[in-house]
Amino acid sequence: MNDIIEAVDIKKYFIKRKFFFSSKKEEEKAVDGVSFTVPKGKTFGLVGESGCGKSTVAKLVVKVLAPDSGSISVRGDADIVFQDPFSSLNPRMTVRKIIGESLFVRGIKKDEIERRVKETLSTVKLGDSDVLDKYPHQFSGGERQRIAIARALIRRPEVLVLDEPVSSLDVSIQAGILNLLKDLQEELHLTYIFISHDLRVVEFMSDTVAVMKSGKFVEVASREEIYASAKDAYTRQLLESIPEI
Amino acid sequence: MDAVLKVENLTVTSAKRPVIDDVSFDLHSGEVTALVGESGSGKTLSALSILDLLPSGVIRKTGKISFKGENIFDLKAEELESIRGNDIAMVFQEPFTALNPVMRAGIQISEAIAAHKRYTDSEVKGRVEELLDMVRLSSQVVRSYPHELSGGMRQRLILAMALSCEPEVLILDEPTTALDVSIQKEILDLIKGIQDNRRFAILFITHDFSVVNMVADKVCVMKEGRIVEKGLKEEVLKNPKHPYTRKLIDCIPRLGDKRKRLPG
Amino acid sequence: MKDKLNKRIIFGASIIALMAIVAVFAPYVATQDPLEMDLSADARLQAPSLEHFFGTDSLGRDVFSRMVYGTRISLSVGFIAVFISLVIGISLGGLSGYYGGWVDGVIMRLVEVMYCFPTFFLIMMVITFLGPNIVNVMIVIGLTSWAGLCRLVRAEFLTLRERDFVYSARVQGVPNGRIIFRHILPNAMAPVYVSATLSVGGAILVESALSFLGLGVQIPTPSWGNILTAGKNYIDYAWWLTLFPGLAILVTVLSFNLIGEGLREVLDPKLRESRR
Repeated sequence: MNDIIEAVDIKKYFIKRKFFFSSKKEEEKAVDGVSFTVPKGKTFGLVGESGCGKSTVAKLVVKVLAPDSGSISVRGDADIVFQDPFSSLNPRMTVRKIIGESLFVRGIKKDEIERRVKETLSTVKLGDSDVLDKYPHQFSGGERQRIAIARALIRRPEVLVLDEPVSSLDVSIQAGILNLLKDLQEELHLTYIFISHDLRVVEFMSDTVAVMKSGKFVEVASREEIYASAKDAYTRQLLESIPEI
Repeated sequence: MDAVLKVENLTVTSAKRPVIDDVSFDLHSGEVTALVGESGSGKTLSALSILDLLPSGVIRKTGKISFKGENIFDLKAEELESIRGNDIAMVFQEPFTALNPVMRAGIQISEAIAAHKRYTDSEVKGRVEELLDMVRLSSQVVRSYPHELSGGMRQRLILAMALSCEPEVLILDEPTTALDVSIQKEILDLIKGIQDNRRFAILFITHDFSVVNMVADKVCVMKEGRIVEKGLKEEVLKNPKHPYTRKLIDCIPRLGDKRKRLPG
Repeated sequence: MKDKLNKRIIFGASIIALMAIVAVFAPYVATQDPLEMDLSADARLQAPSLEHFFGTDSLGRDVFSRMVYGTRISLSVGFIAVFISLVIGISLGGLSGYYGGWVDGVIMRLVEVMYCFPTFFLIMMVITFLGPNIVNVMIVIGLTSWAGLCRLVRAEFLTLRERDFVYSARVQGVPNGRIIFRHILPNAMAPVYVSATLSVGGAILVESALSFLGLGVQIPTPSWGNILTAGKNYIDYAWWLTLFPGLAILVTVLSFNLIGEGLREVLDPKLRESRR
């Protein structure tokens, strides 16, 4: 079996109070019975509008959250790259410390960490050695996102969850990051879960696409099928909303 | 036909560096002019200059901005205030921060209406309904607080407030960037619909060329404070002359895109 | 990033620096032995003169020298008491804000209890039981003034805990303790600096009041507060016994407040700037 990720009917509910003092508790079904599998080396695209639950799925895959029911198994490590390159890097840590942190807490020696940090930085094309002692605020958005990618890759995970990785970047910078992600996938045989609200970007990156709404998948199909002949009405509505050049 | 608003050779510096460098463009009634650029291009600052709302530390160096023949920078404070919101209105990018969270929507619109002209209460009420209708919001919205409205509804509300004094120039700064794609389409259609009826001079600021394609008549492309290309939308899109323009157009992935890699 | 060191910080810090120098080099700055008494009639209750800058007290001791040594007391109580409250406040606030749940519940109830007590009376009661001396004073002030800091730190943690760089650390398997102290805490310190600085002034005031009431530093060890006590019976004619210690307390507390307010100005806009 070639599947690296297998999710079976996962559900995640959040409990919210209706008002500040109310005793009535409302259940918010962030993820309401979602199943999917992702084979090695492929990209599973997850598209939907804000509030549909796609970020919750991301957190479930990297085990920051545990599902309330159902199961999700990943054969190997999974790491994550977030949307906002400004808040996803600790403003008070140097690049060296940020990227090397996950190695440091596993007891790896300083020299080895240094070597691997440099190596990973050059895979994300930030190979300049004086990058290491700088702080996040000294970099542009695109560079920060590369740092975030380096941080996620340093332990050589099987899976990378990309939660709107280019949505906060300028259009011309987006292209560079998307190209980089594709190259890395080939080089390192990575499996991706690529999340975005932008259908065009999801189409560009993914092999299989799932359209999500209110915690459920309304349609899951290969990229070609979704974009050429979507069956679900919501999917078609999303496709029609895309401004065309 | 003469331009309603003319920006001529505007140069604005901040800490001695030009953030807007010799920029010129015109706005005509009935036309949507798109100002396209990435972050740091100076597009928002250009819009703020029109209303003379540059943040402190940013100084205009040279150039002039004429509204109906008069130079904005020569006007006195009261004259400027009567223009802002009244003759020239602006909608900002974030629909969340432009609204007062503790005031109901109806009151905020009423305030915008009454800000520049004296109306009776019933006139204001009538105007509120008219405006909500123009932006296709149900009149129930009047009783809601901003946090009870969706992002799209908030943006419509802000649009209604901007239109309340029937401005001649409407500046929209990335009005759909923070919205979901289906809402974006609705807002863009709405803007086009309003434009069909009312013939404002609209300055539409964006970084996305596909949005430009949907709404604009003319395009100005800005890079690092300079305008690198100007022209009619169809011409610029079909035949971009400047490499930066070409890059901005090409690097957007398209539906049905067969490319394996994006340029740049 | 160059910080604009504003006038308040510079002014306040200069005065405190001056006092710190006086405190450290007390034996060199003091003109006389602060404990030496001279009970002869022409030595007691002397007005300020070239020999005694601040005059003498009812036991013929040189007030200036006593004040100089009193600086040691005031500054050390201020700093150490606040340090104790920082340690407690930051730890509890961090745990409370990061873990939430019952940990937060328990700690917040504790904070509320602290707020319920009129602090000064609590301090007086405890000192009465434990016995008045400078160490007890420092510890008790520290143990009773951490609640405000705790809330501040908790509030910062509640926000910072949801930031993506914290999620990222969790994904990467960074242990919670390290996340709290190495990742979140350095980013949470800005309001703490302001509050701590302002608290030093408060602690000094408390010590002075305690010493004035006889519950703090015991005579003959000089403290600004107990110089005031000695002076209270002679206010009408030995004005120097009240003026100088009073001024010293005023100037010191004011200086710390200036630094605190200045820090608030400098740090606040930077906090807001951290998002694009």
